[in-house]
Amino acid sequence: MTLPGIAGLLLVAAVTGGWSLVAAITPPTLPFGVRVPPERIADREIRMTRRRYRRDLLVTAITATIAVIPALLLIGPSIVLSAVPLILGLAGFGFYWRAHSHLRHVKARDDWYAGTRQVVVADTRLRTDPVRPAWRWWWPSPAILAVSAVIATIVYPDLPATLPNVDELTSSSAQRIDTTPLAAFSPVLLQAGFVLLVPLLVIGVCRSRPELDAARPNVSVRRWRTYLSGMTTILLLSGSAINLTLLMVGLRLWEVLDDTAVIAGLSYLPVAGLVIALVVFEVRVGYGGHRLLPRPDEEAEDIAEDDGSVQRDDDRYWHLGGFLYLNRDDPAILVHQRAVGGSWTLNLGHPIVWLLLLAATVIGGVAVV
Amino acid sequence: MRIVLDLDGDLPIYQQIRDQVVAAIATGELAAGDALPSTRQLGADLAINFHTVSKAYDLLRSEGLIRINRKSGAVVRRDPNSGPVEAGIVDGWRIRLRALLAEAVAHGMSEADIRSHVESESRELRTTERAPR
Repeated sequence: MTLPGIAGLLLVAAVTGGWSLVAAITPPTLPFGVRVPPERIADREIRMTRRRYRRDLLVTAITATIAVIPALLLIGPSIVLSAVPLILGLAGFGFYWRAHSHLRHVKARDDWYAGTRQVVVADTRLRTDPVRPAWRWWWPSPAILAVSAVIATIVYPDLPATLPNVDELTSSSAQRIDTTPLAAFSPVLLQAGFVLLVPLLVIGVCRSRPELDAARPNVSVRRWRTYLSGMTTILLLSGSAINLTLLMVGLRLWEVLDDTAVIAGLSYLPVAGLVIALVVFEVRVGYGGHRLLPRPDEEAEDIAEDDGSVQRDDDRYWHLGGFLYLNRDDPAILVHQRAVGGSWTLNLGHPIVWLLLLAATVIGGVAVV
Repeated sequence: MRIVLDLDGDLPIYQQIRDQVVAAIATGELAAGDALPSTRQLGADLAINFHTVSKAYDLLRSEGLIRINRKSGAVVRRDPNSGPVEAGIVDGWRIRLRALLAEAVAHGMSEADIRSHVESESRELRTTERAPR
């Protein structure tokens, strides 16, 4: 089998695996991003929705596997290899959205929250004794930036009139770009951006609302601490991983390293390692730490204090299958993502978020022009 | 301490926050000198407007239970071990007590009933020794 054939099949597996994971890592009280009361987590409707979602993903993946080789031969690799993730990604999103909408419909129809006392819960200890990010993991990223800046400054005077175009995974020597200071230093500038962005994100994530379960507050507080501590470490390491990849991109750009397929592949290894670490962490620890075993004393305390209260149904603030959050009364800017674990999203009801999005649109527009 | 809010309940949200902070001080969960989260942070943690939290903190400040510094934020000012009741506190408390007693009398509770309820609630508060949260 040829290289594009293998790449095509790997893409099918990766996108299908990704969507399977998205549905699998959410906690039992949030199937497909829909909040359900604890006594409904084993409901027949939820089981059937999961089964149908898995079946649809599997059928689509099999169809794509059968179709990808003939499509590569007939249409050509460049179109097919970019169309596969797009089509499968959209199909997966469609299945997810349908599952989400179906569960919301069933929940409303059968009034799953009837007779429950819905509450929200906060624990002030998470603020007076907060989770402290392991900042030592941030330091490699400015160190890598410094190394890259030194190399770029040394090689810059001797660079040829054109540079290889390393935007593509594997660049061909035919497409070259003009050597301008911006083009030559672009990896270093991007690195500097990540050096600044990562600590801001870590602070934002630490201040975001913890995912506490009103029915099991003691257990969920400790789970959140473990989860947040792990996630901030991964986030801090991501700065180093991205900057290492950018250093490799820079070395290819400045032709210090030969721009072969092997070197190009190697340069994405740090980021690939990061993604794997994130997935492993999510699978083991779960959404907000829901897979961590409860400590017997905390569980006993939760059971002793249980007054039948359940976490408030907040589906009304989540849109587009549970991917977008909009709550005008919520002062939070960054909120833990509902549909996918291991990520945070912006509160679209917050005026500062509008300004941020406006600024991003303007900067993006200027960059395109 | 833990704050549990019934956002759809009859009791105003600021009142729920205020009552729970008072209860936490009474049971020893919060002691004089303990910090409370900032109004913005607590608002974000509960997904409620921070003005609502401000209102609760203002009430607690006017009742002499917390102090609010611009720099250090809200800090618990007194607890059961901070000495005798401060001047003016009993007057305000008696007004609220009168409303509660009127409610009990209106519903036909006898004086003995009221006394026994007060004694049992008071005993429970004083004997609830919780680990500091």
